[in-house]
Amino acid sequence: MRDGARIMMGLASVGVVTIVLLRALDSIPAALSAGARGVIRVASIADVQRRVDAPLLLPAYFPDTLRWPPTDVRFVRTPHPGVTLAFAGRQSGRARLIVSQSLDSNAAPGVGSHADVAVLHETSIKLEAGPGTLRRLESADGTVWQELTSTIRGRNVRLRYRGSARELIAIAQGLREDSSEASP
Amino acid sequence: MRDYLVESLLHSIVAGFFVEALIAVWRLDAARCRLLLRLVALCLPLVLPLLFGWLAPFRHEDWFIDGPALLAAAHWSEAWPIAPRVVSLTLTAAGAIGAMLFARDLVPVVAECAAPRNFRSADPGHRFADALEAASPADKGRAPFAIIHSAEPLLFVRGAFAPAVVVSTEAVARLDDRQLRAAVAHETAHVIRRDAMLGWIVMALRLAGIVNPVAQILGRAIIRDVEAAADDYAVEVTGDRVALATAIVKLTTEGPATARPVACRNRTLRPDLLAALWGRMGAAAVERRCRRVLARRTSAETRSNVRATATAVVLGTLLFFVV
Repeated sequence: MRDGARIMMGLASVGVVTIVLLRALDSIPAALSAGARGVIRVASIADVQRRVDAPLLLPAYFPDTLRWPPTDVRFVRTPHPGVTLAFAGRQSGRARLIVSQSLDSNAAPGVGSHADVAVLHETSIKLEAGPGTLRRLESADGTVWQELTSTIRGRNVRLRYRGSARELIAIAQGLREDSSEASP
Repeated sequence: MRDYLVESLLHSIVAGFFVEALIAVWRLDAARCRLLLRLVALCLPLVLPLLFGWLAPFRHEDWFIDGPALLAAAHWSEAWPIAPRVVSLTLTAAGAIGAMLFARDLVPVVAECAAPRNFRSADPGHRFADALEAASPADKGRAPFAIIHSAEPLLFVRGAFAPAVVVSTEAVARLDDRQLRAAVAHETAHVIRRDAMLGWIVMALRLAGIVNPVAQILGRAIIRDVEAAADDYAVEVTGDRVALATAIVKLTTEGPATARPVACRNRTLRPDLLAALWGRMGAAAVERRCRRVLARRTSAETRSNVRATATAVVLGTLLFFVV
């Protein structure tokens, strides 16, 4: 009886330690790429289109202040697939435009949330594709972003831009499905 | 195939860690019990990836990988654009190390089998016959044996299906009565437990996992456990630890009466540095084995089969969530 208890205790303790270690190991890639578990970074738009097996909405209007191609391309597969593209500014090299889109009409757009920003102002707008919401956000480091959320071509889309609201609306109006990675 | 190799390697690492941690937590000193646990760790990673792939193909679907999976190789291989290349390189390196470890143990066996030997049969001395009689269990009778005339101090078990103790006249001459009893008891344990067959089975499993270095390391550890279990039997039967330890030293480090010591043989085939390293590793292994024989506490093999079965069930369940 005592032997049996010792065997079970040993198995349980080693089992728990193994589970914790495995989970920790599994979360390292996501932690190193500053994403959540299941967030996958790829090298290019072509890569992500191949992986998700769907064309992405890309901006047909692309201000000169931004650099092509995107500096960061991420996607999640589960529970709802979504893609986020980050474009850096030509001058600073920091992200200036972040385009997030769901690949499933019921899902939130792409990777990321409002957890890290404060909403300063919010207003409803009307785009060619339908209604949308324009927000002015302030991130934790004090940077002010314009954010536009809408449903375009059946996809929930969120764009964040460090620039004018007028340019952001123009970018959103110009979102088109494109299977090639050519610069717009 | 690549997915199987990645999964099998991951499973081996997890299984190796799990079993070694259990051995430490349970403070297992009984070699037979350790051997069974390591056999579990060797076998499961070779079999389970195939079995799971057949019975539960959903393990490789996205919802499982990003959901219940405890560790997913995909998370590492997809984390960075260059990761697939790193995984390929790691697999290649692991394969090379695994094949080298396997060859390191296979080549001496093949060379030993292929080497021409001019053994002549000799009459069994009464000392050897008495030692064999004393070492064999009463209900099973005396273990089969063969005595050969040789200048080398040889004492081993031959034959996987019909094992027999083989001893050379030089070994009988070199060991005193106590040492001979202890050494013969050790070999008798191999005959009783059919360890030669187990050795070939382990080699076959290692061949199946030839590109898996963890499987190779576990395979070597199992063979050490087989030897340790035979040592335990010899100590149990003779009660003479010192005789067994000195017999081990005499038979493993001293060479033929007319030749150089065993540790120096074949040195001409290897560069000096490698030979020195090889000899030092061999000497260290003999020293470790002797220390264990001399220091081992008498501990009963408590519930070896229960431990091995419980370990297989828990480990198998854990490995289901490693993809």
